[in-house]
Amino acid sequence: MKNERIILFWIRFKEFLSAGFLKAAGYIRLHPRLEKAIYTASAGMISIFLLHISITLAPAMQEGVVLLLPLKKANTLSEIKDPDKYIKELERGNMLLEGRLLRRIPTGSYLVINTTENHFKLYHNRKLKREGFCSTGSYIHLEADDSQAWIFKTPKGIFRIRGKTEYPVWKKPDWAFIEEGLPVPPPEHHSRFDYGVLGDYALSLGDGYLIHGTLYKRQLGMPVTHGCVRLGDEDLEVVYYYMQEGSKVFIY
Amino acid sequence: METTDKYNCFKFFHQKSRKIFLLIFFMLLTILLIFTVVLPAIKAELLFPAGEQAQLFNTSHSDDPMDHRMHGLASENAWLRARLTLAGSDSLVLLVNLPDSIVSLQMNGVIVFETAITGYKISRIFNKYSPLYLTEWCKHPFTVKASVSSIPKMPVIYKKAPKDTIEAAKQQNLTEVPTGQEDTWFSLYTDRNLKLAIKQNETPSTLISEKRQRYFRKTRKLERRELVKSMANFEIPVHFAYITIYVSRSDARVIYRALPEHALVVLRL
Repeated sequence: MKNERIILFWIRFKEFLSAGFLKAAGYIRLHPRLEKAIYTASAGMISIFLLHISITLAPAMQEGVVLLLPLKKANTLSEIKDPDKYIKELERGNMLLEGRLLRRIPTGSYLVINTTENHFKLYHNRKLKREGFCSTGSYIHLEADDSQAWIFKTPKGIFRIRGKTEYPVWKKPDWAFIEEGLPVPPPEHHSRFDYGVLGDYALSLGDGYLIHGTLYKRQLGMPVTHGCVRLGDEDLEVVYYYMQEGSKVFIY
Repeated sequence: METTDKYNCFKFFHQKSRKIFLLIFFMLLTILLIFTVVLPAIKAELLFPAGEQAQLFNTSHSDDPMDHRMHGLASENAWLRARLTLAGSDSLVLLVNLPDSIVSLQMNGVIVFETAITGYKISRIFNKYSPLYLTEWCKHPFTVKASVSSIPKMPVIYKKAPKDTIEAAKQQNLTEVPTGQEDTWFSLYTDRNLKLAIKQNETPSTLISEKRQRYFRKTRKLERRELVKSMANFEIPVHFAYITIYVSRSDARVIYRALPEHALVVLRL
């Protein structure tokens, strides 16, 4: 509706201007009051146009004027009393800072997951042990009829491994049934338990998010999960071996 | 003759009032240009955190290699210090290291992502400052206040729950997996007049792309809004010193999607 009004206004305005040009060229005659209105509107529009242009182009034009600025200066080494000592102090300071930064990196194992590229890297003793594709959240926003909604995304941030399980069983939540167009069963109903779909191992990140295996290996490297991180069988085995309870998982 | 006069284009303007009108019009335009272009550029300086005074010295640029060494070490020192300050933070930090041509993401002191900068462009204002001054400016992290991008932060796909299994099967086939080939450009506007733009180095998939147009429109709109806001408050608008860096399309997308809304940026010039 708003767009229609804008288009209509634009058409009328163009007609208005065209009438002005035709009049100026001497093709038509207009009532003096209409003529006055046309030229007042034209002057107004030209002013608005120039205002718009000058504001829009201002940042680019400022760059040109910046050239006229005087040079802002800083001190040189010749002004320092003992330059050798100063440089040595800086070098030592930088080495200490680098050491402190290095100490921030976990010495054990940690996992880095890139949810945009669906890629993981496993580090052990600050060295890359394994990397490969994984699957993360699909970003599907599922809306049920009863105003319930879920968004299937992998949480970002720093997590720790809360627990490790062999041969995990998936207890399907409500959305798994709603997504498939099935009626939601009672909480402990046998249809909620799905065996073998999570692979041989699962590592818990808390809040129901897991790092687990998958039957859909072709989808590794794609954003297709409900928020968990899926890995291929061999990758999962290595990750399960290296990652201990408390190991950090960086997800971005 | 009478007819021509009667239908003269500017007849409604008296000769004198026409001159006054044009004079006022050009005066207003000149004032506007002075206020939006000349004054911000003349007053342009690299802003420091509130309450901090930049060290300004009175000697000139030097070609002494020892000075270069000192500046390099001082810049590295400031860079490491800024990184260490943020190493305790669980939030993701963007690190832009122009001398080494590396852009990376840091989480809790750990570099989780790193990529090469294939090219960059910087504002002319940086040439007006000596390296030590720039080091002082970069000593503290920048906080992103606003951002504009050609891609969404979260590629959300909206889906209605199917009524039965037949509808669910149909939906399954329709759900598209994002290809990840979207053209990516984004700009981060920080608290201290730094505009950091990260752009893909690949040529856009289509030259006149709707997304590209929309990105530039949004950028202009944001800058215009800031300018008008300053004008409304009778303040001289701030001149944004820009740094545009080029990385691969996929890396630009990774960086943008990973960054939180008010991300911190550490810069080394």
